[in-house]
Amino acid sequence: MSAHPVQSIVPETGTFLPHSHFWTGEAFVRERERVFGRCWLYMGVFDDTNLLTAEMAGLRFELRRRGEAMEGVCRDGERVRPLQIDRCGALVFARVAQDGGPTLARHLAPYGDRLAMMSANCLNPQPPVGIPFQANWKALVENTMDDFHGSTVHPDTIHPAVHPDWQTNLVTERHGANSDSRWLLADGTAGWWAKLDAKLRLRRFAEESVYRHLFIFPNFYLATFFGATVIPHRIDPVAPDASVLRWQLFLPTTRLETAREQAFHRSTATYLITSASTVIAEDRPVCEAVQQGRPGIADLPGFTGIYGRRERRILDFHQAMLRQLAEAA
Amino acid sequence: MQTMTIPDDAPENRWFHLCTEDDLAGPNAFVTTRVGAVPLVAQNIKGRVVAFRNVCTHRFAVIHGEPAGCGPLRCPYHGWSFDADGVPVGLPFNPTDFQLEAEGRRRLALHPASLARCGRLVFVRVAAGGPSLEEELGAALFARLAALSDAFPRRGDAMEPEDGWERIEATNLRLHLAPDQALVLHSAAPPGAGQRFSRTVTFHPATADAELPA
Repeated sequence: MSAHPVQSIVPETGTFLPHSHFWTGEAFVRERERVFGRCWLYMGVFDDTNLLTAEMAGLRFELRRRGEAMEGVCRDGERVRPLQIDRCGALVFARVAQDGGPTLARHLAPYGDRLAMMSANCLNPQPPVGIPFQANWKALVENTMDDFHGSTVHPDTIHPAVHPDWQTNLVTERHGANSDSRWLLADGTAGWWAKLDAKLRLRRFAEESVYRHLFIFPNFYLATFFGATVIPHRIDPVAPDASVLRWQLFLPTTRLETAREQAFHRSTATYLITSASTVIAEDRPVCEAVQQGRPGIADLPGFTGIYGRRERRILDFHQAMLRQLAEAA
Repeated sequence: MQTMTIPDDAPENRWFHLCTEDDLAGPNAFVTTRVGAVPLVAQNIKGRVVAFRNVCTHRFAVIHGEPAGCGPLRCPYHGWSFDADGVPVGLPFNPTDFQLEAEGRRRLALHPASLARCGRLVFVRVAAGGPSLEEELGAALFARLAALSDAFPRRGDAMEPEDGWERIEATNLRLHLAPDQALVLHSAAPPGAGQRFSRTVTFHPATADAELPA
């Protein structure tokens, strides 16, 4: 008997998004109102400008901090709506003001405390990065929550960086729309980070030799390495077939005083940004291949795909989307 | 599940020229195109030339992204590979993640497309059923194309058609014929396909040596 009973799922009608949701303008408009016009959305980490802006699905979010107070609006053409803004540690979230709906803490559950703890490492910010994809934003979400394309898409980058027996050492928690995957780092990777720690005296939120990927519905995930570096990511819809993956590296240190330390920190941050960009550049072609392929089977009844043991997070996302889209406006 | 319906007169129900047999002669040789929203691939798999929708049944990625090439019918996303019947035969992590046996694999076979030959010319169609290529082209045109493709088997240096050359059109195919000299074959990209799927090739008659008895 297998050590992993009950593996793959061929989804039934109504348990995943129709294929057309990945390219039609109609679906895009519906998501703008019912997902991006209603859900709590990650906005960023305030810096000295005290300003945060974001554009998702044609909605523009503008936030301003004055002391401890935060205020903002959502612009949709001529329509301007106030925002509700809240924090989880250093991470700032906002949603279009509305009666009812979950609190931010409820929306992040059960990961609010974990995110707040990790966000304490949002120090030493590096310049934000935005990488365009010619693919629907949900194809990127599916890609990022897919825990087993490493050997085929990232054979020389992420794959060798995690433990060779990654299947045994991958831990995934699923809680409805939100989820958390942890990969044990390969000994060599962990050793590299330990040396970096010795030189930079990294600030660590946990003594863990893992790559962590914590996803918050609908389009935010926090990646962390070695319990130190944190990289918030947000997938911004631009058009039915276009999106931008935005992310920012934080390389937190407990000491950054001498010119030598600062130079080493800069070069390390540059190296990490380059490495992360390389990984994302590997993901882009497969996301775009899915964008091209999905319309090519949409006329075939029962062509639902199949989701293996490590792809359940994707179906969780589909089901959360269906619930969110079904909510009354 | 919601599905899109393809009307009878849609491009998906028509034959389109893809390539010549030579392009698919080698092991794992493939040629791709797109008709409407549907990516197609014709591929030589262990000596059989077959055609499918060029979309993986696992998570819907286009399998071969290039217009032509040589390589196994393997999805770049998760490494699923398919045999000449379109059945996935290589599934990384199948024992732990999918546990698909023979019947489960057969249910996840690639969706077949139609493939037909006219002489050495290879045509494809999205729809699995419908009129034959000969019925769609008409018997006379079908016979003419077949004869020309047999009479000009040798791929050679590109030539520009000149005034006075005979011009023949069939589906997305335009031929320019200089008798006993050259056949320039221009295959336009089908509707919905990008220009990278258009192809122009110049063929020449068989050489005198080739016509000598062995």
